[in-house]
Amino acid sequence: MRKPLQYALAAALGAVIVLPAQAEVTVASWGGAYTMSQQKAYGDTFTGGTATFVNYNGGLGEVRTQVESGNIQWDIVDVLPHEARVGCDEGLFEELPRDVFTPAPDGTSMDDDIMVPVPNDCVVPQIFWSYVPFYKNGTFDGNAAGNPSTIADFFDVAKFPGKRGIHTWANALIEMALVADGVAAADVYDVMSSDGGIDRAFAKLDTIKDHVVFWSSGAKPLELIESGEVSISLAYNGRIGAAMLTEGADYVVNWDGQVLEEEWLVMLKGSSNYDEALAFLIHASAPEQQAGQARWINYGPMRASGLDIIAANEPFFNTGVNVMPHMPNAGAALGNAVFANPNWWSDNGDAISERFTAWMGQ
Amino acid sequence: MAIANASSAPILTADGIPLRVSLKRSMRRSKLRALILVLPAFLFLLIVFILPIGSLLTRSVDDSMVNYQLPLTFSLIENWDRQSLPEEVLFEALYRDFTTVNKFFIANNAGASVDSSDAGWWLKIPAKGPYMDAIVNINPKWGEVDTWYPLKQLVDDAHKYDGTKAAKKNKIQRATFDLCSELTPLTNARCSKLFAALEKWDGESVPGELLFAAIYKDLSSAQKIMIGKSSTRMNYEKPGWKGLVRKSSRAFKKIDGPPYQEAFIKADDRWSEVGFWQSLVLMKDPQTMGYYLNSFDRRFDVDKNIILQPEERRVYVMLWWRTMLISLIVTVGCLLLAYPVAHLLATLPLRYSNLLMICVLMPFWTSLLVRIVAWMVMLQQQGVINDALVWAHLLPDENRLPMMYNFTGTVIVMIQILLPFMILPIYSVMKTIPPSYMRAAQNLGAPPSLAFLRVYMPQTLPGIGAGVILVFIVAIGYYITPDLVGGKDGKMIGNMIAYHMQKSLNWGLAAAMGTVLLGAILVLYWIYDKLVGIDNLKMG
Repeated sequence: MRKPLQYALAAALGAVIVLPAQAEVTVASWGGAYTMSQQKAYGDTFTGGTATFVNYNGGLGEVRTQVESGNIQWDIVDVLPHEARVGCDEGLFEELPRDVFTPAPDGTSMDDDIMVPVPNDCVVPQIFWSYVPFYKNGTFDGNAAGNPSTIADFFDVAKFPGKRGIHTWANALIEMALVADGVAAADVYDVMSSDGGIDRAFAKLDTIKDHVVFWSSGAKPLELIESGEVSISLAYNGRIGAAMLTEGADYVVNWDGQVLEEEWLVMLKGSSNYDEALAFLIHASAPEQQAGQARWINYGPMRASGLDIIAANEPFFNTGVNVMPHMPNAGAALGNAVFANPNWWSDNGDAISERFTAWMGQ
Repeated sequence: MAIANASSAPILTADGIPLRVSLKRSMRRSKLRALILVLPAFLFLLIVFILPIGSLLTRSVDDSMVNYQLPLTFSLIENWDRQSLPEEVLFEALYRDFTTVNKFFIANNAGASVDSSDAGWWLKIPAKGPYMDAIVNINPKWGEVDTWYPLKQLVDDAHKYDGTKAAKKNKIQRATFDLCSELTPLTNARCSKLFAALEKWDGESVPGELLFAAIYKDLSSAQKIMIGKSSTRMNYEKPGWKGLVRKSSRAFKKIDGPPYQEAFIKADDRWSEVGFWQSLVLMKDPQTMGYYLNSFDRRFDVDKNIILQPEERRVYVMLWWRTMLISLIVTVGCLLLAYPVAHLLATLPLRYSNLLMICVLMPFWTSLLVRIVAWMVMLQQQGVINDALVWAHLLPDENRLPMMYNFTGTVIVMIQILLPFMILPIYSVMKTIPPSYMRAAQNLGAPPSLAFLRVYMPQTLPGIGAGVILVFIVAIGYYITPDLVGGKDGKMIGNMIAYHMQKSLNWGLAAAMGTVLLGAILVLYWIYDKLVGIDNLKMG
């Protein structure tokens, strides 16, 4: 039943790379200010060992290679909602006992403390992040229609002139296009599953197509806005927040129609540091640490009790300013927000991705 | 006669050994020495090049996982008319394929070639035990010590391992995975219950209930992983399978008997859609050409005719052409820019040409990302070049040229990055052409242009050939640069391969596209050989 080729390969590689015995936990994450916030909030406060952070580019390709060849280099990975489900389904992650995690101060268990349903037993809560439009204050001074404030305005280049910065994949764009087209945030996925729903989203995207600059890395939208290349851009809310909170950039964020995505931590199956890695996960998911991360970046803790800690201790951000108004999953920001549905995307993501690539290239 | 005699007697060396033998011996020794010198390079090639290509080729047609997961369904689906809703028996087969572990105990389990009349497929192992009788009934082989013994040995080997405590712990953990990969096509399933049970077994007595209970439980969890992997695969064939399987798996646990059809449709009414069943037909064989078709925007219909993908999903053919076009433009662009530079390099006095050479090599010493970002600063619409053009009133401010995040951007940046690959081979060939040839041609009355065309250029052809092949082959597989600067219409096929490797996890499709790319390069190489001749290739 073995696959001789893979085994030969794994053996050969194993012979080349002789690993020293590690007592430390390796966490693969996205890098930049985000990993820095994890390092500060989880890594530096972790007493059960040392946590080393390495960068990766997302996706499960490397994880699958490591787990299936048995040559495991990472213990913990920071994954997107879709990957959290596929990886657990395919047996790439450890299924974790749920009763070992720290409950909320009022005794609510961790899984009930999380603001969305927990998809499986592999995941440990991290943060909410979102795709959201923003512009530089003053861009629309003297504009007849004033400043843009809704997602519909983002799609209206006649009233709000200038180019639009959008990313090169379909996630969130489909949802935003539909909300801009008048679909209620709660009904977005029903429309997307119905006949003609996707056509409707692409028709809306067509209206801005000639005014679009595409970006593929998180730092890019800020450059596009700074250089004036685009007037409004979508971006990860944490990137905008980092510029506003730490560098004092004068940006305006339109939370209307934002698309919220989950971010989870998972442990690779077969990790040789199971105990240390589990200790790290317990530590990182405790309300205290969940809140602590928001001291360094404005991504929203997944646990409601984490948000409570932040709200009670404002000004919470490390520069001494309030961070709650910049949280994607609290207060007014949630007014017309779409929570991304990873189940829909794991069914239809590949087909939409092909269609989106074709659309971009037309 | 004397001469004939002398020639027939063997010639001896000084120590009395026949010359032939001695010669052979020393030849063998030097051959062996040569072989030892070559061996590391050969092994290196084998491990990092030939084996992965082999694995690429197998993966691009491999469909064995889903066939292992749905053997009964695939063996019975032949009888279905492919138009109406399947009958009860097919629903039952699918139910069994998803919920029972019989498949792991039956030896011949190769997709559609399964004998569905074998009673072993239809026996039900009671979920709460006893397991032994049921499993032995499915396949009597499992009642024998010999079947279990190799598994026991895996456990013993792990225990015999001598090393640090952590290393030993890891070794034992790996052994639990190895057990499962003996029993299933998975390498990431863990058989720790079986491992524990085998530890207690002496390896000689008749296997007892303890072992059977353990193997049943471990295989049941392996089954979950198989379902996860198969549903990922099935979703490639028809979007929606993943959700359907996820939702139904929960409902399956509550089904305890016929009618299955009704229970399925009650769990999710998509089971009454013929489309999902039709897509099963396409996955029926352990080898598939589906991935190759997919990489050319085609697919099988339910009768295995090749048809086009729905219009909005046609993207790969367009990307293949664009990849070829970009590579071609980049190659020609590099050639046009490189030729004069190489000539200058070859003819300038040494102290100037050295400086120029450093300029040519500079990009090699700079990070790829730095160079790309520099180009972004130059080319974007609010960038240096556009600013300069607007400032000089050559361009109205509202009509700035889009030179970045599109086709143009990709081409410009790739030309800059690949330029040294063109300059160097051409330069090294030009260096060997004596300047006196051109002077001689002109002395004999040829005007400079004719002398260049008839005398100089033909001699540089080997260098041009090498440069063109080098640049084209490197360009055709590019993906980081197009990803960063490609924007809307500058993406190449390499980006799609990377997407399927990392994000969609559709390794079959990625492997198929990789194989096509490899094939395309071989074909181009062959054409080049026919047109120019590989012997004429000169790197220096």
